[in-house]
Amino acid sequence: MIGTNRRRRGFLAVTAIALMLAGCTTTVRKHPEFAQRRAKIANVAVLPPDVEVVRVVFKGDNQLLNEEAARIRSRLPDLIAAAMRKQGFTVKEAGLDEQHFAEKPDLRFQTTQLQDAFARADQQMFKVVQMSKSEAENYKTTLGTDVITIADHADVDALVVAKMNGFKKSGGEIAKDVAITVLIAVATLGNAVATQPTKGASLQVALVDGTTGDILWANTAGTAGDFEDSGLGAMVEQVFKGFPK
Amino acid sequence: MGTIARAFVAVATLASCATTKVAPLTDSASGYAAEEDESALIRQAEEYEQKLRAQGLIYEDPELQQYLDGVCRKLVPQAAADRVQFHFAVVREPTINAFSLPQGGIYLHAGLLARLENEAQLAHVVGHEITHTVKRHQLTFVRSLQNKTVAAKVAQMVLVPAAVAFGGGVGGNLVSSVLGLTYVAAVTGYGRENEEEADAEGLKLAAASGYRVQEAPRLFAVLNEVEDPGALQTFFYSDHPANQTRARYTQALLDSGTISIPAQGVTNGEAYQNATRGVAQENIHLRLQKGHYQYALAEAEAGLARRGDDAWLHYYAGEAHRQIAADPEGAAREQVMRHRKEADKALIESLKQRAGEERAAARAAYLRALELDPTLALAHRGIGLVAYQQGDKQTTRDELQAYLRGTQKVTDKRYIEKILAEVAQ
Repeated sequence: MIGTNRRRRGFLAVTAIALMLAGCTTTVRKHPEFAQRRAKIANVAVLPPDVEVVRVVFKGDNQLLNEEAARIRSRLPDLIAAAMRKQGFTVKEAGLDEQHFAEKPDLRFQTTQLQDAFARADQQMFKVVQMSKSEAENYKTTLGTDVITIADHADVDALVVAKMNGFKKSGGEIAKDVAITVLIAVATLGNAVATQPTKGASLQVALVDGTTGDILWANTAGTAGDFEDSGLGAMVEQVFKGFPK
Repeated sequence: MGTIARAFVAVATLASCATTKVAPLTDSASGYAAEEDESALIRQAEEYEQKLRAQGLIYEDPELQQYLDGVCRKLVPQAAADRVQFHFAVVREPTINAFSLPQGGIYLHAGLLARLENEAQLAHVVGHEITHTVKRHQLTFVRSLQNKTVAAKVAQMVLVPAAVAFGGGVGGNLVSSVLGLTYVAAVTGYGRENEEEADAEGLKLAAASGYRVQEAPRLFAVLNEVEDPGALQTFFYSDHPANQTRARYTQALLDSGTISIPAQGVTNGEAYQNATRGVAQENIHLRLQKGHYQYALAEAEAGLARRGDDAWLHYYAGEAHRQIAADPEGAAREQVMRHRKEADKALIESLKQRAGEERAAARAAYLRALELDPTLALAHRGIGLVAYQQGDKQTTRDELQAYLRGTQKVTDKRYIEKILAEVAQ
């Protein structure tokens, strides 16, 4: 039984890797009119990213790590802006900070709404992360025309939205994982050793048409390790590897 | 396995020891002091409320706030008010829900306020939420959740390796998911008793404040009329018994004679409708933002049935029709969510075929809005965008220019100018 399952899993893993290597699947989502619309986009603004970092605890009432999230929230826009400049865009300030919120109170809510719309679109877009290239290159989804207000405020042709979710396990949770690993090893007489990450994150970034709200391009990357220091830059780099030339 | 099983039982038993019996805030015999885990919950609740405010999710309307404070504060038992600072806020969220946090925050979704008919129904909902805090249900719920989580994880430590050894990796995953479902079912099952208690106590609070408590069963009937599975099942009293069951339960409570029913209970329907008119319109706007076009249309039409001369409601009806025509895929997704059926191409196709009718209805609604209020420049925007969808360049130009000339704040000038440049070519 164990042997059969191992062979089956091995076959599936090899097939998936072969498909990826053959370039049949991708994590990138691209609007069918990307090229035409991209040609009309000169400047973009990076929205404040939606970042959540959670400490997974043994008791189950996981805790939000607000300070870690705030640090990432302040670093991520610069990393994304640098990556967008490399792609030939002019990056302008989004003007979505406390000073602007004080002047235009509704901007605060509109920013939240846009992040919320991206979170919903993101769930659909990456429900299956690896998608066939033919499907992924004709991917149509929209954040709605409320994008217009923010694009108008920032005076840009398009917006870049980003979302990141990270987790860190508590000592108790890590101990549980270690116990499972040890017990699996004991139960299988050392034939199976399962290791589980103690921290990790996923990042999604999208380029959104400022007049229609359509997502023109989106990609996702993840890490099963550091996501705060060099790991954050590496994830951004990974995401933009998929940006169409 | 014997040793591991014995260890599992021992640890699971120990892990389940945190008490879920706590005295209510109104218990004068016990001196109230928040326990350590409760203090942490209160801190989290304060942070959560700060986050809601920072995200602009709290609806700010001083007149509505004054009205809500007046209705809600008198429902709070004095002994509880002395211990926790109760406060009331409206959340800019169109789903039908209300919730309470242990620091005394009671939060009412705009969608709920838009749906209720009168003050007596509001009093019952708020009484219910106040009871959760008075009875410290948040603390007992989290404790029971922790107990179950610890027990589940200890079980996972034993069952996953066993499944890997005897059933392979696939079996291991299956055991994990089965265990997860059992755990979720057990956790959600804990809510029922607390919810019934909150319904019973909420009725008493509303009755003590002189409200017509017969509105409580009616409240659940009203909520049951909403074809909104997302809101009703996922949000509103999500771990509560079904609304029909609750209607029967509250009716039985009223019939039992255990609640002292005011002889001349008040409903204050008109006062409620006047106070919530703004938030009801805001809710239609929120619905449109979320792509709930048909809900938005239904709410605008319900408002028009009461106030047919409201220009804004005609404008919102126009917006709903226009967006259904412009986004048939989105309208189809909404229907799928409403009626819980599978998405199919025939539905999208039928919505596309109806786009002409939707545009005509949108135009008629915008024109009516302008008849009622010629300064409502957003209606010109709507007519212009309908014409743009239809390829009528002249009307697009005239109406969008009228919009830009209007006295209302224009937040999409760049977008409108882009369309004007396009139709000028």
